[in-house]
Amino acid sequence: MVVSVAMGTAIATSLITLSLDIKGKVSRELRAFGANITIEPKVEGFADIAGQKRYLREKDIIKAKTIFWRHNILGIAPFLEEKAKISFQDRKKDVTIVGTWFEKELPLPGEKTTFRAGVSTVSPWWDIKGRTPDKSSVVLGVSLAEELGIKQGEEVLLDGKPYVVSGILSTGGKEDEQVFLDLDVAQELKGLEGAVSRVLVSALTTPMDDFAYKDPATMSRKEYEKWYCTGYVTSIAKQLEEVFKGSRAKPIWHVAETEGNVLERLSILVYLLTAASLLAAALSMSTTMAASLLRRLDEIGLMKSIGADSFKISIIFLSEAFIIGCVGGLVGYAISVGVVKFIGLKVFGAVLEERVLLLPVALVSALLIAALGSLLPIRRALRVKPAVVLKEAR
Amino acid sequence: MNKRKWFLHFLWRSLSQRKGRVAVASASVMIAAAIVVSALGISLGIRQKLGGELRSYGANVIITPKEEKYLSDEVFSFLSSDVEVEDFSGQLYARVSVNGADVEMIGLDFKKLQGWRIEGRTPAEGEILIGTNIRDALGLKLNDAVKVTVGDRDILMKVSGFVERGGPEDNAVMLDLAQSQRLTGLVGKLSAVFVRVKSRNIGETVKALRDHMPYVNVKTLRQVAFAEESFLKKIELLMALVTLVVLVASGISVSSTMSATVLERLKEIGLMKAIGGTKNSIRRFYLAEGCIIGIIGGLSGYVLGFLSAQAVSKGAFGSFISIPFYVFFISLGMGVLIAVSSSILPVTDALRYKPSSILRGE
Repeated sequence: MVVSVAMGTAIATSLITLSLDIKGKVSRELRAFGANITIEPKVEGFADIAGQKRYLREKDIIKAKTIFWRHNILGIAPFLEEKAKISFQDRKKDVTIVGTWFEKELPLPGEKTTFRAGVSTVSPWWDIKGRTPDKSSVVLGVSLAEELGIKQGEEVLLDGKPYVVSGILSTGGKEDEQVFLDLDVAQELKGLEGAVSRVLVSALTTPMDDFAYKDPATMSRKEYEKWYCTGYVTSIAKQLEEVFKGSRAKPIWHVAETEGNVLERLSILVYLLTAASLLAAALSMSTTMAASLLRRLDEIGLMKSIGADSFKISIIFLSEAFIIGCVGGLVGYAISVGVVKFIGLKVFGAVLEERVLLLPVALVSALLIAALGSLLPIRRALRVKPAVVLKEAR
Repeated sequence: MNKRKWFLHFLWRSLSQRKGRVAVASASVMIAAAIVVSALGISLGIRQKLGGELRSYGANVIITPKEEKYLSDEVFSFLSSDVEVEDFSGQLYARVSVNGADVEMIGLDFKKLQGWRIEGRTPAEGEILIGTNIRDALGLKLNDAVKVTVGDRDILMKVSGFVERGGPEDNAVMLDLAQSQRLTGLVGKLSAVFVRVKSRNIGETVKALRDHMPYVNVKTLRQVAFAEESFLKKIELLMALVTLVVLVASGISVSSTMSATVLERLKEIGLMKAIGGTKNSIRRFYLAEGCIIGIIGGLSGYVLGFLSAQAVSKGAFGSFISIPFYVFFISLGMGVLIAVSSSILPVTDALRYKPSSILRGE
């Protein structure tokens, strides 16, 4: 019987631990879909879309790691998009050049560690054949390279300046037609030192709900605080907007929405599985208890015949169930720790946080299982008539 | 009565007289089978269910013109006939002028859009949807009339709504695809077709599409394709491991329950030996009993597990899950295996004792 309760507790506790941590781990996996927040210069008037270009400041980027939700910022990359003329041998074309960081370690203000930023943290699907660009080289989009017949290693001219093509990039998107440079190189080429056109951010967020979709401008003070202190994609965007001068930060909705949907579904799935397994464990405890009570009918008969009332008898059996529950709970907890570690490593390649707080959860669920499981069998067993049972005694 | 008949008679009487014991044993096999069937059912179907959620990420393949400037909508008929294609929609791009500002116009099929939060409504005939950056730049409000210049034609259109996506739409104005084709004089033409294909074999599907339509560019949208496949694989692995854990745990749990009930039957075994039962026939008897319990448990467990998997699926994904039929046989097989293996061992053990010692109660 202890085994039964132990197994049931093990399953239930493992699932509960998984469900608590799964949101975090799956959230991280979903970041493979790319940036979910974009920061652009604020659009205020006609001029902003009619030629006059506004820029954000490169030096504001590190401030993203100082906001309230800084630990949720997993990736960040700046982009400077400008027009330039590319020429290769006798072919010329007007193209868009993009200055960015491919991989850059940013020292965190006031801390000894660095933060890895760059395109690899917001667009992990970019596939570069060759090497990332440096002071004297560029990366071409695959369609552009094919169109102009340029291969890796050849030299091209951008606005008259020579660069070696160090790699070819393929994404299936508009990047295939663009030219990529290191941010500093692009800024120098265009005389736009310290400027960026836009910044993409990859953040861990809490799924949106009806409350989160409310317009913050219409929220009461308490509501606003609640919104601001919850990691919704909208509140993280707002906090980023506050540190980037002259900016407008918005969620990239097609990424953010889907992420929210998937997370919700998985959470509900795991909760339901947990509930089902608790129920199953209680049922299994029930059958085992029923079997054992069947065996002890003569004990019950004897107790009743010497004057014990049903209440006292049920207390005896319930306390037995309680002890079984405690032991089963401890064993189940120990097993679940191992199970969760194993699953965490195999699926996510990382150890899920060990939560000692779960020991009480394990005990409570074990006791719940033991109690629920024992109720019916005990009640049925108590209806036994002493005379009938004792006559059958061996 | 010959041996066979006696055996069956004995079995039947044993089962019908100890209905309680049989019920308890079958019940625990049933519960174990039910949990395993649920977990297995869900892990087999989770790719399809989550895939449905990921579908709203949109297309994973894009078709663009190769040598011409535009695609013709013949592309649609090719796509409709391909089994691997789940959905597709076309878009047309053009530069237009809105109240004097040069902006990008996107003609798209609003019916295929999923979950766009529009402040206002999707544009009807003569209406236009405006991206929020354009709205802020031009200071537009809902229902304003704007002058749209396409080529050398000026048209007055009504602003039906605003949309902010955090993408290129914010800097564009949007119209229904058919209307945009008429306005630009490009009826039946498209700038791009976004396609959603089944994620398992994108590479092959793309190759097949390229072979069928050599005059267009077919590319995988790596952003979506890359992430989806690795994500789905991880979740499948997660569910598979959970199922394994559940299987092992319930197997152990049932075994312990079954062993307990067998031990109490020592007296029966002693009695059977005393009245002349051979070790083999006793073993066969318990084997048969185990099989029957296993079958009852496995059958009812399958039904219970099937129903609970559907309940979980409906609760988490809002729809039912399709469970492959072979799971029925797994449930049955598992039930019999557990029931038989957990009764055989203790029985073999019990057979060692002398009938007289058992009957005396030692």
